Amino acid sequence: MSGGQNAGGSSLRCNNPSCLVARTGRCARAAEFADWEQECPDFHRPDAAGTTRPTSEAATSPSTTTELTQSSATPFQLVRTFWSGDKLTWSEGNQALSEAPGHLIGVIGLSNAGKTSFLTSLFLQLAGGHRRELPYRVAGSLTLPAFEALYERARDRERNYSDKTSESLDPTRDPLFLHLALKPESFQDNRVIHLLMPDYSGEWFKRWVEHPIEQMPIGLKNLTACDSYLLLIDAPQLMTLEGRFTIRVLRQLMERLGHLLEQHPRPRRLALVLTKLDSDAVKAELKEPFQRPEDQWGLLSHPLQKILSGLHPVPGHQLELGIFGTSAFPCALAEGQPWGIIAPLQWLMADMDQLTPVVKPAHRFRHGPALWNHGVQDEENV
Amino acid sequence: MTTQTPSERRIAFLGGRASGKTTYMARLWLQIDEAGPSAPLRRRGMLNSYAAVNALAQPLLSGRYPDRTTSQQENALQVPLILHSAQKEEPFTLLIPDYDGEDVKKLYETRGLAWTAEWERQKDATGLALFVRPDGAFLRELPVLHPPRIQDDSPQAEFDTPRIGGHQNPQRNPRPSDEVKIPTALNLIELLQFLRQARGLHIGECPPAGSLRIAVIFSCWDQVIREKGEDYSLWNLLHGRLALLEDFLYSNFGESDWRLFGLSATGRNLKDSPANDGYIAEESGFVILQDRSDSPIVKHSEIELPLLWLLEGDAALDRFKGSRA
Repeated sequence: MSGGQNAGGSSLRCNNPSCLVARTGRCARAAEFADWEQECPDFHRPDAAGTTRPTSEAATSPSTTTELTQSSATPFQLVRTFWSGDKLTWSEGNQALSEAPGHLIGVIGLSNAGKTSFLTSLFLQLAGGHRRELPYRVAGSLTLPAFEALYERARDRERNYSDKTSESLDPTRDPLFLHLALKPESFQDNRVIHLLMPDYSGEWFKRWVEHPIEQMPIGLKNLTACDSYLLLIDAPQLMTLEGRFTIRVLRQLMERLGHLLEQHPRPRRLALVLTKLDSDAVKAELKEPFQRPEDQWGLLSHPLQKILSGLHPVPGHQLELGIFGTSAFPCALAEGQPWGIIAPLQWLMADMDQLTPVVKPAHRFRHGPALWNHGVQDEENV
Repeated sequence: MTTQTPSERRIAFLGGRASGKTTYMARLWLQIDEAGPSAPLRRRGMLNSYAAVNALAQPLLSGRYPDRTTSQQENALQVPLILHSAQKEEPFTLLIPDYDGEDVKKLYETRGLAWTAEWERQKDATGLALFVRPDGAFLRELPVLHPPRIQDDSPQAEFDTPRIGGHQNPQRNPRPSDEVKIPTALNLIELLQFLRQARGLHIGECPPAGSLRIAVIFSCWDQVIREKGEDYSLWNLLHGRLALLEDFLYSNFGESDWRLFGLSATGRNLKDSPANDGYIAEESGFVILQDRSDSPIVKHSEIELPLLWLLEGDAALDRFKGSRA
C-alpha cells in the first residue's frame, strides 16, 4: 500500500501497489473513470472520522495491473509477450501511466482539424532531435510501429493526399493512445514522464455537440481524466463561408467541454492550436512568436474570441489557456521544417514540471544528488 | 597477479542485414587466434570444434567477405579466453551469437512470436554491439548543426546543461529549410526495449553501472573516409541520422555505459580489389574513437577494441592510450 503526502498536502492512500497517488496526487487508473476519486475501487477515501477506506466495489472490479503482474509472473511461461506496438488501449495506457508520473493529453478537434498531422509532425520533430526549447528527450515508446505508420502515411500523402483518422469513426468504441516516454534533458533530473495522447475521431466531437448531452460518445467519457488538452482548429477554414458555421460548432464544443470541466474541477491547461497556417488565407499569421494572446491573431482574433466564449463557465484558475499557431507540413518533408509544433507541448509540459517530484538520481548522474526539485520534496531525497 | 575461476561472458551482436556483424566476428577471431602472450585477449586452450571459426575465417583469409548469416545457420563464436591486465588474468568463455539481420526486422514486425530461446538468452548479455552501416541515405548531406540558442553561463546552468558524454546536443534548433528527418533504426530501438523489458528494466531506468554496455559500431568506416574524409565525426552521424537512438541511449543508460565506434574490419572494400593483391586479413582493419563531438578523432589498429570496451568499459581504452594506427 502506498501512502504519504500528495502535492496538495492531503494524505492519499491506495491499495494498488503500482499507484503513485500518494506521491503525485494522480490515480494510476484515472483514465478508466470519469471521477477516479469516487469510482476507483483501490483508492482510500477519508470518511467522516477522517480515516480512509477502500470502496466496496474493489472485489468486483479487477485491477488490470494486478492481472498483468500475475500473468507476467507465471513460472512456466514459454512465450514472452511484448506490447503490440499498435496504439494502446485504455488498460494498456493505464499500465504505462501507473509507472508514473504520467500525463494524459486530450487531443480535441473536429474532423480535418489536423489532429493526426499534428501528432505525426510532433513525433518526427522529437525523433529527429529537434526539440527546440523542450527540455526533454525521448526515452522510449510503446507505440513505435504506430508512429511509423503515421509518418509513412504522411510520406504517402506527399504523393497522393488523403488524410483521415479512419479507424476511429465508431462512436461506441474506446479511443486508442499514442505513447511517448520523455526524460528530462537535465542530467540532474531522473524522472520519466509517460505521455499518452488519444487519437480521437473528429466525428465524435461533432456527435457530442449534436446529440443530447447524456449521449456523449463512449470514447470521450474519459476526457475528464485528461491532465491537459490540445484543441486543434483548422485556421483557414475559419475564414471561409462555411467557417461561420464551424465557429459556432466549435463554440458549442467549448460549451460542452466547459460544462464537463466545471463538473470535475482541477487546474489544467488548454493549448488552442491553430493549424494549417501555411494556407494563403492565413499565411500572414505564420510568424514567431507562435504563442500569442487571442487578440493578436489578426483576422483570426474575432473567430477565436467567439469560440472561446463557450468556455466561460470554467474559472481561469482551473483552465489556463494558451493560443498557438502551427503548420505541421508546410512543404515536402525533404524541403523544410514544420512551424510551431513543439511550442504547445512545451507549454503543457511546463505545467507538468511544477507538479511532479524529482526522483532519486540514478548512477548516470556523476555529480551527486539533485540540487533542486519542482516544488515537491521526494521523501527519499530529504 | 591473480587468476579467477572461468566465467561466461555473453556479448550480443545486433544489427540489420549486411551491417557488418559477421565480418567483424571473423576478423575478431583472426585477431584472437594470432594473439601473442602480452595481448589483452588471448585463447585459453582448444575449442571444442573449429568448424564455426574456420567457416568464418576462410573467406576472409582468401580476401573475400564471409557469407552472411542466414536464419538457418548461426555463426556463433564460443571461445575460451583470458582477459589479461596488469593486476589479474580473468579466464572466461566468450559467447557471441550471430543472427540473420532479417531476424531483427521479423522481431519488430511479429513481436513476441519471433522471440526465440536464443533471444531470451541474450537478455543476460553484459554487452551489446549495435552495428549500423552508414551508407546510402546515411551519408547524404547532413543538415548543418546549430548550437543551442540559449547561452547561459550561470553556475546553475553548469548543472542543468544537457550532456552526452560531456556533449551538448546541437540538433535542437534546425533552420526552417532543413529537411524533416525520418527516424531510422526503429527496429534496433524496439529490440533494445524488448531486451530491457526482459531484464526487468522500466523505461528510463538505467541498469547498474557496467552491467550492460552498448557499443554503437558504425561499420565500413573505410567507405565513410573515402566519401567524407578522415575527420568525419562519429557524433555527426549519430546526431544527424540516429537522433532517436541517441535520445534512447541517453535516457536509458549511464553515460559511461555506451560509446561510439567507427569500424573497418577489413580496412577496405574487398569487392573493389582482386583477392591476391597482397591483402593480409590478420593485419588489416581499424577502429575509430571519438569521445565527444568536439574531441579529436583517433584511429587505432587494435581491431578488438570495441569488444574489449564491452568487456571492461573505459579501462579498455587506457590500454591503448598513445597507440594510433
